[in-house]
Amino acid sequence: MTDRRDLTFEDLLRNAGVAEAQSRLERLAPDPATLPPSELERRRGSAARAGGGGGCGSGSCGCGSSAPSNTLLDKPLDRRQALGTLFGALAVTTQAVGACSPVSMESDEEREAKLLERDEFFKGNYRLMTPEEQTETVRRLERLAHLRGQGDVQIRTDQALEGVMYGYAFNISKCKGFRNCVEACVQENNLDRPSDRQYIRIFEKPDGESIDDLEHADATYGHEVPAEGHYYLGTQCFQCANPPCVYVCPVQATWQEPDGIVVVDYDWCIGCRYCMAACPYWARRFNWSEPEVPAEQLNPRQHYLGNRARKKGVVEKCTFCIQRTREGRLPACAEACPTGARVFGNLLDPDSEIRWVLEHKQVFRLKEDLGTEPRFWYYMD
Amino acid sequence: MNSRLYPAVVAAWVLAAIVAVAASLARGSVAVQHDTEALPTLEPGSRVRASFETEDTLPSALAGVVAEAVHADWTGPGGRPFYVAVRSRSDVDYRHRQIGRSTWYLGLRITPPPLVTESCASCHAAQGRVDGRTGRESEEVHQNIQPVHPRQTGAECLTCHSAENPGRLNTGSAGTVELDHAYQLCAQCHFQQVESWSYGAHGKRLVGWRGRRVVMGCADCHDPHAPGTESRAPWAGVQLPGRLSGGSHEGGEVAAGAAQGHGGSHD
Repeated sequence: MTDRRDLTFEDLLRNAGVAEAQSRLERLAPDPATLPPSELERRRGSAARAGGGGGCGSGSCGCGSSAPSNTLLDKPLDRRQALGTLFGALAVTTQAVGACSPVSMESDEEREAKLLERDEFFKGNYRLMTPEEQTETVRRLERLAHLRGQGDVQIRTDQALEGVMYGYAFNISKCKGFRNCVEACVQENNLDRPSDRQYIRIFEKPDGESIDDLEHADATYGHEVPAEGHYYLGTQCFQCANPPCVYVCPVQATWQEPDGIVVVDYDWCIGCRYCMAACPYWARRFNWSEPEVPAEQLNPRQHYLGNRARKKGVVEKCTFCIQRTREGRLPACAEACPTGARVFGNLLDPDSEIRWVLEHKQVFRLKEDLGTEPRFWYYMD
Repeated sequence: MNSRLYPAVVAAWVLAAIVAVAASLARGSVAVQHDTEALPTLEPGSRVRASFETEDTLPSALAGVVAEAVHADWTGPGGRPFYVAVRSRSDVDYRHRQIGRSTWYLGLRITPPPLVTESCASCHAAQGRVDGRTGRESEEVHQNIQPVHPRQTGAECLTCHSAENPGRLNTGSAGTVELDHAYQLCAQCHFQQVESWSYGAHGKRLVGWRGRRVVMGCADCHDPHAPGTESRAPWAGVQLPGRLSGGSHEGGEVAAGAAQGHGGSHD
């Protein structure tokens, strides 16, 4: 038996998962019989070099090396694709061995889920995907949710609407601190229930006290509201036009969309939490554990960049309910507010409600001196 | 050039122009998505019926919100017309909204103000008399009304309700208006609030941020006879059976967060 250290990448491929590799090859590569002789010769030569200058690939060693596997190695593969193929082949072999073993309890569905998970693991950054690849990953995620018993979800990939820049205004004269917005947000965005994850915080401040001093404001009040002599102010992600969280991300897992929404690719985030340190508004949340939502409460209308299932070890945040707003609906918090304190609309439309508020009311933003340019304004009647 | 080729050349040019125009149209010629899109303008006073169900500019996801709205007599931002939802003729109470998997009631009262399901005239005949249908006194019939606002302002029923037909409201200069246009009555005193309302800084918009602008009327959130906000307990977070209070490994961070005013939600 060959020493493992002597195995080349090609050997690994061949030994690990013949079935998987072959089926892939048949799909990827043209039939060698149709190739011109010169091309066939060139491929053989390069494969021989890859294989260490002899032995396999030459066709004379009888180890079963075939033209298709050479063709695969000649294809321009990037590291991600190559690793994906390799591990996929390994997984298939493991499963094949497992299937033959009498103690295997793995069902077809478990096997399918594993394959889907493999494909998900080796996919690229969402921003670099073609629309077809985006659709593929979404189909995989939907199927995985089904296989894992998380219900039938629909994940959308709606792009930003043209000519739209979302803006938000919050009326501190109207907010009464009921926290209906928080509850709606939790339900709409499938936030983790066991850790009581919330994107929105409502602060209670005594009348006349400065807005700048939120550090000492109470966001945990439990008494009946509105309390006499107090006003209320909500914070969430402000979708800054100059977002420090985006600049510090070392892997570009978070970015700003053309409509101004700052999003996270949960499958690209490495959980370093730099963005959380950079955000001056404490708008981002980290998943210390696998988020859990009871199946009967799961919101199945999802967006890839929004309320779809997150995993342990990644950062998430408010996206102005991207799954709703890109359909023309209002964010859940604005929809649920019983006092009408929340105004949402298109900043680029001079006839929008939000523009009227900005032009006719006294508005301010939090920590404006930092230059983050939040797209979230507070106003008073 | 052979003159017989001219028609072909011209045809090619025309074809190329058409293709270019079509391509530019396909890329989207609309520069700005208007909150209030240029839908056919309806006559003042006219009603929108199908708008919530089959609104051409709204995505199908919004279908199912069934309500009727009346063209407001005033205009909103940019001088555009807007619509006020009509409670009495709605198939569903649109004050209840679906968010996630839950249904929400929107309004300032714990108990929603009742919908006007019967016409006032079914009891009140012409000339403001109560006809013989029930025979009861009006105080008894209307005892569900808390007359907080009238007591505060020294008003009585007929200050706002028309004596000829209580289903219409007195607006002074403008004569009487239907209940659907109650904002005109409210504006007699609360002109600042109603101005903010008609431009979107006060009150609530229905359906979505774009498309035909339909807003809730004053009496959808405020009980007209007791318009203030009722105090109540705020939502207290997720209550799961067996949930540990304080968390395990999160403890340190929650404590730190609370010290910085970060409480209320855990990291």
